[in-house]
Amino acid sequence: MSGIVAPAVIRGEVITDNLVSFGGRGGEMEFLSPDPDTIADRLPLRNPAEMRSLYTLTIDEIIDYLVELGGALDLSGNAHMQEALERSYAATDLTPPILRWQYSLIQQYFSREMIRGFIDVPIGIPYVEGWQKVALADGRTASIRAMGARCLHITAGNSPMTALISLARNALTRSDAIIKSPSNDPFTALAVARTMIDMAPDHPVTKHFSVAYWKGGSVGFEEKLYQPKNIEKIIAWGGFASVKHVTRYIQPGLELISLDPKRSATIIGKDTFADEVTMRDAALRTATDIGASNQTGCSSARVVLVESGTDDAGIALLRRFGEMVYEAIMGLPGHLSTKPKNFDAELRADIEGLRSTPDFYDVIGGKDDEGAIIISKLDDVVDFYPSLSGRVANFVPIDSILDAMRFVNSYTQTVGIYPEALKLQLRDELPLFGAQRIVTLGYAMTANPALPQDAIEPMRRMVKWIVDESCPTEECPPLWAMHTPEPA
Amino acid sequence: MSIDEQARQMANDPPAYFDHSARLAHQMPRDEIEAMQFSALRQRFDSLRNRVAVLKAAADEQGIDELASLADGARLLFPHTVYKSYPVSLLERNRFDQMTKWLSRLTTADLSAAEVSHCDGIDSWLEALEQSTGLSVTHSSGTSGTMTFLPRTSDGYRIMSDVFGMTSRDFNELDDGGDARNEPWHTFYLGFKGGRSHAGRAAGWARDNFAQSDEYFCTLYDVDMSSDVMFMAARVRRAEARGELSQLEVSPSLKARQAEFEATQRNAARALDRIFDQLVSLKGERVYVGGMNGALTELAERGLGMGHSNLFGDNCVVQCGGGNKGGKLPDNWEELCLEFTGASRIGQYYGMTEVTMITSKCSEGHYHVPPWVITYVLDPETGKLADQEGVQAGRAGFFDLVPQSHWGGFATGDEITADWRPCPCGRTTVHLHPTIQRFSEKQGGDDKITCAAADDAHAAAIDFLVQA
Repeated sequence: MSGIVAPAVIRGEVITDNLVSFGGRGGEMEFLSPDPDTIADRLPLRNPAEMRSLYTLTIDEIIDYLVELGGALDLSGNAHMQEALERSYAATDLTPPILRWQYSLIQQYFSREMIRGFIDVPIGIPYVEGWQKVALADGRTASIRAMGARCLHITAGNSPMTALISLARNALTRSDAIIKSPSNDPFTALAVARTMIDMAPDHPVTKHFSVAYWKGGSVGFEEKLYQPKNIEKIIAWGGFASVKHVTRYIQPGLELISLDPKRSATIIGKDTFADEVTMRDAALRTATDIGASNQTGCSSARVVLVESGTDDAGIALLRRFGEMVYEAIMGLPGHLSTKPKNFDAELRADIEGLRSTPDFYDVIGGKDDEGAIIISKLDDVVDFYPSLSGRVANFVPIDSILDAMRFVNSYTQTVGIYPEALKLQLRDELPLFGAQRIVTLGYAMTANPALPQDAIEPMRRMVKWIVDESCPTEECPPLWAMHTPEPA
Repeated sequence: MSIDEQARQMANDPPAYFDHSARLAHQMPRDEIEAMQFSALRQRFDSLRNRVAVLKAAADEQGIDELASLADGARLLFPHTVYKSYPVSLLERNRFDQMTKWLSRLTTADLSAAEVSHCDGIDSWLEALEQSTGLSVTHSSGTSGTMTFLPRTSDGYRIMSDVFGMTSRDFNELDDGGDARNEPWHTFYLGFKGGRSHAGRAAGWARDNFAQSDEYFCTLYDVDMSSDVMFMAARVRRAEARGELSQLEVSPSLKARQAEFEATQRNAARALDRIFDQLVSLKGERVYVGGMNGALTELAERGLGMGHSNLFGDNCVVQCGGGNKGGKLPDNWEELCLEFTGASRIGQYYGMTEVTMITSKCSEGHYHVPPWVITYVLDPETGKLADQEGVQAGRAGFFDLVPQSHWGGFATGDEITADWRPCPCGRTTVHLHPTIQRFSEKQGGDDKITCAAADDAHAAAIDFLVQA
């Protein structure tokens, strides 16, 4: 069989047997990977005692490993990564300059300070490094430790960084990871695993990192693998259907950590329009939140709520701001944003439909699938707003900033806000409706994995919190010595 | 008669022009069809170019003042989204003055005098439009979450009904029998008695063409399907999918009708029992069954369980569809229904709210497009027109030559394979291969005529209403 091969890697071993063909998304590319059924038995860590090797390492040694790996992943000197990048062009929705730039960010993510923060901020290094004592009011003392688990990571393919974040989280929690690669990025995690083998083939972290591809929804295979005897936690990124599908396997002993599909929004307060300079600053930041990585992220801005007012003057102001943002999107640097690779034909038809309705909508740009700003002239979003993509945003006028809450719900992840002072006013209010991350405008698409994500702390969920309780009888009255209460 | 005059007559009233025979329509030589189509297309363009605002804007922008060929029509196909490009909040907030303003850009009808300020829902809005302007709007089922509103005239429905009759007779090989058009059939329509949706209007077609009078006509629901309930069903489905159910508001006027809707549901359950008894008592008679396949399957399962099979033999036409009810329909529902009724097949149709076309599968499994509809195939990505010859796959575009007060050119959301080669069945017309799917859903196969599990929708909407 010839063609592009994406081997599986199981705990330091590269598997290229029993290849079968898989189609990439959009029918663009095919690749060969080991038949999942032939590796189903080898993929899980059957003997949990093997995780003991991870406890021979200090957390500093694990950080050393990851920092060294970060250096080894540098594109200029890594043939695996170069090959993965080249092959990914056909699989991904990103354009080559954007993907190349994302690969170049790996070193930055894997600097010593960043890596340290990934574990120290959410959990605290002492808790993974040893037992932390607490004294309790009932007289007992307890020691608490965060220990690793056997995890399956179903990663998303909209950015290669999801594979790297999963790797770092796995190593820092002393867990065993199986990465299920997505069809729109079947190569990145694999290249990382191969780099780990080249760098330190027998290192415990290398030996607890596996990567494979199977088609999500292969029920027979998944039923076999997704069992508490094989896996304790599933960390699922991604789309509605894929997360929903995974829930069928959840049972006592097998936990789902869901990083569900999300949508993000932007709130622009009226002070933005105080002067031209402020307005242009907000426009560039809004353009960045919409355009960065071609709006493929769950934190990409799609609906922009603008406190412009809804009267004629307000709509005129909204339109002027929309034009500024459109220009700024078109001017974003090529590594950050380009004309999209694919443009959703249904979205195009939806936009064309709006052009016939000038009483209610204006469309700025979009004639060449380059991206567009849809101006709503009424204070409501377009009905198809969940499919906004390819650098298309819907600008909605509101009279009062609190009207923005109407558009926030449990699917809302990031809310970029301008001016900065407005964040303080809104941050207690927005979460009531579902918003999870409130961020300075222009920074929606930069994330730090040390922080909570989707309103949970994935690291604290990934570990197992173990407690050792000590109950000296003199401090802690024993049950066996308690007297039966006298009947009244 | 000049070709322009022939084309005009065909386009204005296809059933009359073809003497109510689909067979005649599908036997016209291809070059003749295309010459007539081009003439009719030009006549429609000349008449509507400056009278339909949305068309005028599109033609102005492209600088089109005349159409030079049949292919030129493809330059002015409205995207299917045009007929649902209104802000949905207008419906939610009962802003029917604004809805009327939106609709007025799509029709030559003068809607400025429409008195709609009192309207508290879609039912009353469409009623008011009919009363004050004569415009008879039809809407889609809203399976996509948004309703399409098409500004037809009442004459358009008469033609649509006649087209349904022609097609049904042709497909079921009744034209040779002689009396199919004259003698009434015992007609059972397993759905609503009527309504302003495309599906709701289908009951009327069955009545007009088969029952011919109320005496022979029986429906599962004894009332019209409320457009407001359909809209709410669509909103509930959409809000569920988007995690927005808590933000969905029910209008007070709809809430006030809750008891009425619940009674409708109860009555339908009783009606099914009544229909079952009637069907059994009509053994051997000439019977037509249309409407929802879910209800027919229920009847078939009940009947077969009691030993009733092959009730009507050849004296039976079954045209049901509507999807698999969320997986509740048994895989072999078709077999069960055929065994119960004795029919040799279940009519499957392709059509849509926006086009005066109901097309059934020929002996080769192809959907033939009638001469009064021009078929275009567009590149799904670029919208570029494919040659109108050979076999072409892509996005379906149709130009419906029948409408005289709105623009008939329409780019659908459907992926089709169109075939301009001669069909072995002997019909001369362009035909579509049976695998048709919506680009937005890519889960085709659903019959779009009786589309929309309307009974499911009704039940789901009522459930929501009760809880709201």
